[in-house]
Amino acid sequence: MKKIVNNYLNSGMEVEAGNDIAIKVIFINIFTIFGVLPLLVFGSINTFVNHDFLVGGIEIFFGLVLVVNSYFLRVLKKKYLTFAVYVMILTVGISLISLLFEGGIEGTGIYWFYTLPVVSIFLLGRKEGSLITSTFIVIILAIIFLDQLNIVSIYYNFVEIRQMLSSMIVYFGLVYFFQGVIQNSRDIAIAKKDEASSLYASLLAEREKSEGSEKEVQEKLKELEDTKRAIINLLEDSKDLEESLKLEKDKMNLIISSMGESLLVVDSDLNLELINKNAESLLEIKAEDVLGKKWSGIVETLKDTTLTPDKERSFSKVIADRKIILTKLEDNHYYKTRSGRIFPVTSVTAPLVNDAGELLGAVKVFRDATEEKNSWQLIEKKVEERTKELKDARDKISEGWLQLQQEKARLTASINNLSLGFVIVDTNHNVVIINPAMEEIVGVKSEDWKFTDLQKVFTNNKLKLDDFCMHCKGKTDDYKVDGVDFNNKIVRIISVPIFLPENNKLIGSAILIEDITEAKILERSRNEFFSIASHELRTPLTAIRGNASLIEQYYTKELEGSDMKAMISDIHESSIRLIQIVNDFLDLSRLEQGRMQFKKENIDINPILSDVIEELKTPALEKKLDLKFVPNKTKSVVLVNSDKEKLRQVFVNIIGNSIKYTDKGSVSVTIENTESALKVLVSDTGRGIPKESQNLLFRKFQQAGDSLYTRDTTKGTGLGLYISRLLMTNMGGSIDLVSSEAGKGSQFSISIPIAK
Amino acid sequence: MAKLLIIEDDPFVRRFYERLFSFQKYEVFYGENGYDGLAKAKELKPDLIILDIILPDINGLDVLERLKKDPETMHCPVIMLTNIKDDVTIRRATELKADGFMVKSNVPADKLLVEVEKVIGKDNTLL
Repeated sequence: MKKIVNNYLNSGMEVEAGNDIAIKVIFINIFTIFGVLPLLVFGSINTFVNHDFLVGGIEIFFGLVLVVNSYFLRVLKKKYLTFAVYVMILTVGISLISLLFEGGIEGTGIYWFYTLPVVSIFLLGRKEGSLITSTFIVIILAIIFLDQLNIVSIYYNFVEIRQMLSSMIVYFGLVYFFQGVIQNSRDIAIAKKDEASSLYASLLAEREKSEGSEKEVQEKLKELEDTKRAIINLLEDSKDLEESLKLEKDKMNLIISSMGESLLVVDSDLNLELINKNAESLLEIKAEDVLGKKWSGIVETLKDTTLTPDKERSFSKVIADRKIILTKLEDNHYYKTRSGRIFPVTSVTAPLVNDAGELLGAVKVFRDATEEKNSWQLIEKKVEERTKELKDARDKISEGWLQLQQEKARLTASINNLSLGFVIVDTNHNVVIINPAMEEIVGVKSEDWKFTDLQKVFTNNKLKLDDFCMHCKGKTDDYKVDGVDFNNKIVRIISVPIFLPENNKLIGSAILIEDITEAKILERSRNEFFSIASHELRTPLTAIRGNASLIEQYYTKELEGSDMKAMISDIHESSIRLIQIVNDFLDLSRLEQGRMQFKKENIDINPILSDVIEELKTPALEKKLDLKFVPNKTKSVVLVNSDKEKLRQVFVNIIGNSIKYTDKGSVSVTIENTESALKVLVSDTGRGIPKESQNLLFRKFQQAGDSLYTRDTTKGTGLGLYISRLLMTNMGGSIDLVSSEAGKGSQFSISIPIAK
Repeated sequence: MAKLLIIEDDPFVRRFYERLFSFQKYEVFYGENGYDGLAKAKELKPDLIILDIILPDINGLDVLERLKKDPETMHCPVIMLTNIKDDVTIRRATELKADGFMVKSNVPADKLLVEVEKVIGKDNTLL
């Protein structure tokens, strides 16, 4: 029973409930044993009938208060208990004082109740009980003392006082006694039972030993019977108590076992007092196996992986320090069960202290934090990953910044060392970058370039800077001006829009200025070189050729029969060839530079061809070749659009080539009409061109079938076909090799566009 | 005998033309440069002037222009005989009323004679 009560009290719940029961028990016993209520009822009625209204009224009032209070205590249990107690204190206190000072208390008999409220409070476990008790004693002693000194005069007699004091002593004794009964009744019962059992056993033994001592046995049996009755009485008392306790306990257990958390209660010696279902299953133990045993032996505590010594465990610490301990997830506490299972725990451990400040034990509420731990670890891992990512990103950024700086340095160095003038202007007309070469060209040096400064320079040179910043206004094409005068230089200005690669946003323009003065001078001098060279070369050649031909013509007789004639002839021929080479070179350079001018007109090619044939008749005759020309025989004259002189040059070249490379047979020229062009076909019965050389035919310095070392230098520079093709292409026509067979001859076609 | 004025600075070429035309029984005179040529033309009133373009003082085209502007010489036919053969120059000479344009190195002696004969003959028929 003591254990149950202790458990009940130590559980930290409703400590007052225990007193409630004790009070009920005490009152029942008081009224039963001493019959106070009948006495009171009888006394008050008697007094009232004898016309002592004051005392009678007071006694009836007292009686009612007691009845009401008993009702409060018995039926409503602790409800209004405090209220009831104070009403009693007030009633008794006022009555006591008024009786002492006015009517006296002689013969009233109410002394029995003076201390009732005090006892009630005392039983409630309040300090006020002892305080009020002592206060009453002091008041009474003060009254006696003051009366003895004749300071006040009160009606009383010492019998009353004595009775009052003795009644107090009786009450205190009763309280002490009933408290003792409750606490010890079970122990006593068990002791009595044991005593009875041993007594019975010894009796049986004795009976067996001596059949004769029947009388003695009879006495012993009677004694035993008395004892038994006493035990039964006691047991019945305790049974009532136990039943109400059981009810409360069941309620408690229901609450405890239905709670989601695991719960443990230890007493101040760290013995397990209470364990709920959750705790049982978590710790893999059964309540009946562990209750009353040392807590430390039930489960082991680990901090991380090391075993926590008993003294360091939270129950021990709480008992020692009387402070609440919170064990959080990050404290890394684990329980290791007897089966070896380890799981993380979070818990709250709190001391159990009653109102009197006594430490009764400690309670722990804990839970398996595996899931929380896992998610915690997951979160920690995530945090770690994120931190790493963040760090990586930061590293990358700083790396990128470094690269950017390097890139910038490289770019700046490149721009600054550029021979071209370079300036970047953004869309807000800020000069972002300008390089020294630009300052050189512009002729101004400045630390702080402004768009307007640059504008001034451009305006001075009759140029508009805005033309080169059209991109700022949304134009996206490059803009180029070539060969303009700028500060006494000839320059090329190129403006390029700058786009952001990711979104194609226009952010400004880069303006490049190239000083092409030198290049222009060079070009001019090269062109001049060609015209001067042509003149200078050809002038002496003219003299050589002219003189040689004069000798051949006018001094025939003098030369006859000597080697001189052949020598003069060689000089004459060589000079002609040299003139031809110079002419070819000049044509070539003009064509390649695009400086050849074509005077295109609508012409009839028949007379041109006739003219060429006439001119080439002499060399053909010399080789005894048949040179044939079949003019175009359409009804009306077909005109072509071409440069007469250039066309003639091409005809001479192609027909001349055929004559040159044909040793026997004929060279014939025919005309073929197509829709858009006239085709002059030149066919010969010459040596032909080998297949492998055909594709090299129209190349520069190329003579079909010849390598560099096997050139026939008597037959020209190898530029003829190349120049002819360039000439025809420039006039919208073409030259092609139609067919060729080694040893059998070739056919070329010259295609000339028909006049529209 | 027809009078022929050759304005040519290069002595070798000049001497060649002198020979060529002398053989053909022309009366040949020459000017060593532009101003000399102009003076000779005014003085001699030749039947034909053969004019080079690249000259030491003023160029042949300027000489041609002056000849054709001067009433004293404007009726005198001028054949340009030069080694410059680009189209611009030829066109310019035509504009300045040159009576012929020949490229020295491209024209054999006999052909030159034919051309000269043509111009002088034409002139003669006009006269």
